[in-house]
Amino acid sequence: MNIIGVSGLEFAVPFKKAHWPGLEEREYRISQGHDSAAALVIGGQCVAAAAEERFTRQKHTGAFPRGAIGYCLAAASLKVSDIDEIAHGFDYSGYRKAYALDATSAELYERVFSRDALVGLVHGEWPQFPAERIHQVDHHMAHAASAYYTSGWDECLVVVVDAMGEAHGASIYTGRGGRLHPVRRIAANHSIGILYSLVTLHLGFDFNSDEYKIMGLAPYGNAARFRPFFEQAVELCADGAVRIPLLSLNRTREERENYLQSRRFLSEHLCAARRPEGEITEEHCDVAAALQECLDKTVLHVCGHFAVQTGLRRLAMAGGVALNCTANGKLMRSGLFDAIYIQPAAGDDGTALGAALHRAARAGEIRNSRFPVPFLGPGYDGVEIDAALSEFQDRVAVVRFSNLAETCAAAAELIGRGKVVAWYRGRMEYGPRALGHRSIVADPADPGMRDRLNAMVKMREAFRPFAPAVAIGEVDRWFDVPAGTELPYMVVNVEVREQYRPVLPAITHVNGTARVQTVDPRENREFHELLCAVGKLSDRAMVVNTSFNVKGQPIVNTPREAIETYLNTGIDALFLEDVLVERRTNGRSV
Amino acid sequence: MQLSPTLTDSLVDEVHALVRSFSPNVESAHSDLLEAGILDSASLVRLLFAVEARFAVAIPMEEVEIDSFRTVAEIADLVRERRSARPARPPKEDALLGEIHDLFLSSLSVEVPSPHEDLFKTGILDSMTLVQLIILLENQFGLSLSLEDLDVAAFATTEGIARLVRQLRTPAEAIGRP
Repeated sequence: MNIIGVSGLEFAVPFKKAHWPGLEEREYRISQGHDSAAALVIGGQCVAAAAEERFTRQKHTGAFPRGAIGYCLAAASLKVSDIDEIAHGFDYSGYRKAYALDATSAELYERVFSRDALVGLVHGEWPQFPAERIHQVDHHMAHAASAYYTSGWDECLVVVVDAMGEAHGASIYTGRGGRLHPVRRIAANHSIGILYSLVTLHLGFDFNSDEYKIMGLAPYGNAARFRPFFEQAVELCADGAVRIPLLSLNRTREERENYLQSRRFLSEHLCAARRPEGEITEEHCDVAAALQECLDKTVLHVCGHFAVQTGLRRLAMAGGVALNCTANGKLMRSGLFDAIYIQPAAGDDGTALGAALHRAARAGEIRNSRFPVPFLGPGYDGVEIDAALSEFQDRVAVVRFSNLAETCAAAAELIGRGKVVAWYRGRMEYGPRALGHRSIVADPADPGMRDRLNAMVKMREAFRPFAPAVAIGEVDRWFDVPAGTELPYMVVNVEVREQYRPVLPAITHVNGTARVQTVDPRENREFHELLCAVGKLSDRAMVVNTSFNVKGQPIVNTPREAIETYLNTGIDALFLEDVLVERRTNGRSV
Repeated sequence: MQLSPTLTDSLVDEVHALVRSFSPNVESAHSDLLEAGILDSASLVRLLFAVEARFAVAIPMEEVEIDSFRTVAEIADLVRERRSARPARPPKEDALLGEIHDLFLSSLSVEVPSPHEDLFKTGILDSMTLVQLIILLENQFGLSLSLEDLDVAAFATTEGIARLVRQLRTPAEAIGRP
């Protein structure tokens, strides 16, 4: 079967804006269905997948993934009439009667959540697509399917933790013999993801978006000061569940919609709410530290409990909380599991893949093998790159190399001279991380690099850390992990070996950790070759690897976006495949 | 109105457990926390927050007298006092109904005043909380509830919910369900 999976709820934010006017923009993110994406699964294998934001250029957009679907079809040379099923990563149909209880909710259901709304969106693009071949998949089941059916394991524990699905904050499954069985589901009013997002909002950042910034801020703080608050706020129950009473303080529809009483409780008992433009104080760092510690403990509690209950020693995870690299690092070091797999598109974009895989599994088509490094997005050939370059010919100069080895040697030489290099090759990544195809790379040993990248290139908060990409053969040399440890998706924090922390200032966070990506020549050959070229010059096959975008923008997709972003930032040089692009500055180059 | 002895005792036990998380040495519900040196101004504030968070009550700082916090029993009294509507506790013999009331209290942070209280009219349940309640009932009683097969009106009172749970707990073959 040819199955298109989709995620996102196009009308969720517009509905909220119509019914709750006057909120701050970031408060409209207290809603469902962000991160639209499409994934094409053919005969049980994913052949193309991408987030819609990369096409609309609206970060985290929930718009129906017209662009991403169009890309998936083109990538496989299919027409819509070749598609057997469309599967959506939400299924609210079981909750219709509950939403009928009040007029606002009833309208929310009809316009945003219902099957009719989904069918309407599909028919808006393809009026002929048979409605009976459009399917809805429970949100957490879609997350779980995305993890289990790409884990390569026949048997494992599958844990989904996010803010919420239709109604749940976490769901635990066993995967056995190609089937997922629910073990326990935790209601959303006890969702650790929602608590984390509410504190994120409270600290002046964006709900359902900036949680990773709080994770980055946490190591600057001392968890002890606010530990009692979180220990009381989050009860870890003996049955493996979690209780968070402060999320149930809201009494009216209005309060529940925007967690007004829960937020008031945070103001009165945790700390004053910080304005987005306000200074980040020690108190905010301490809150972030205690919150992160609380999340770490909660994830360990839930996963640990069900590991014991089921006797399973392998863990596959998805859901937005599974992108929390600090918690993942704690899990990895806990010894609770022999192996852990985090599906790299663990956020809601990944439910497009999961919805499609769930349907494929029902058809008996799954060949469960470990997800490759997810280069599943669009790639652009030399003709398209040349067309983009010609648009900017007055502003850029180009040097063409004849093969990858020469390109890597030239890039390594620039990196060695302290230059910031944009590295654009092959197919775009699926999931939030740039893994070597839409990356900005630099020397991890340069002491000024972190501040320079934050201020001049990414134009973002000064506290934000950067992550390293290292050739897999060297991972145990620099980081405190066994030789050959595979961390290809950059979703786990590990310790930098103590003696190397001073040597690697650009990628070592204040607590001595780094969110490392290991690069294996079998899976990510070209990026590995770049690292080896860097290693030849520096005896260190490692770079800083950060996504090719600036604050508030999605990662670049097309060569044109790559050139524009390069020209508008402090990036020193851009490699578009084997073409070096530099600014024209009175005949001088970098 | 006083709560029934059963609930009072469980509340005291819960408060006791909470205070013990601050200091394991509190032996009885009547131990003086000040004399025992457990409470100073800083720890009082922390305990206050903890009590508020755990029992979902508001205890404004300016209204608190230190004496209200001298013993576990007094803290439990304060919690009881701060809960707005005083419940007519479901009949003690109806354990299931009691369990459902406890579920509302522990998992939705709301004390349902009586088994006949209209949960929709009072706003205790709306679309958002009903969905949560269904999950909580599923977990608590090991049920699988599909709203599509149920009448939402069955959830209007805790009495009705108890009836529903009782029905669904009956083995499927006995009532002819597949």
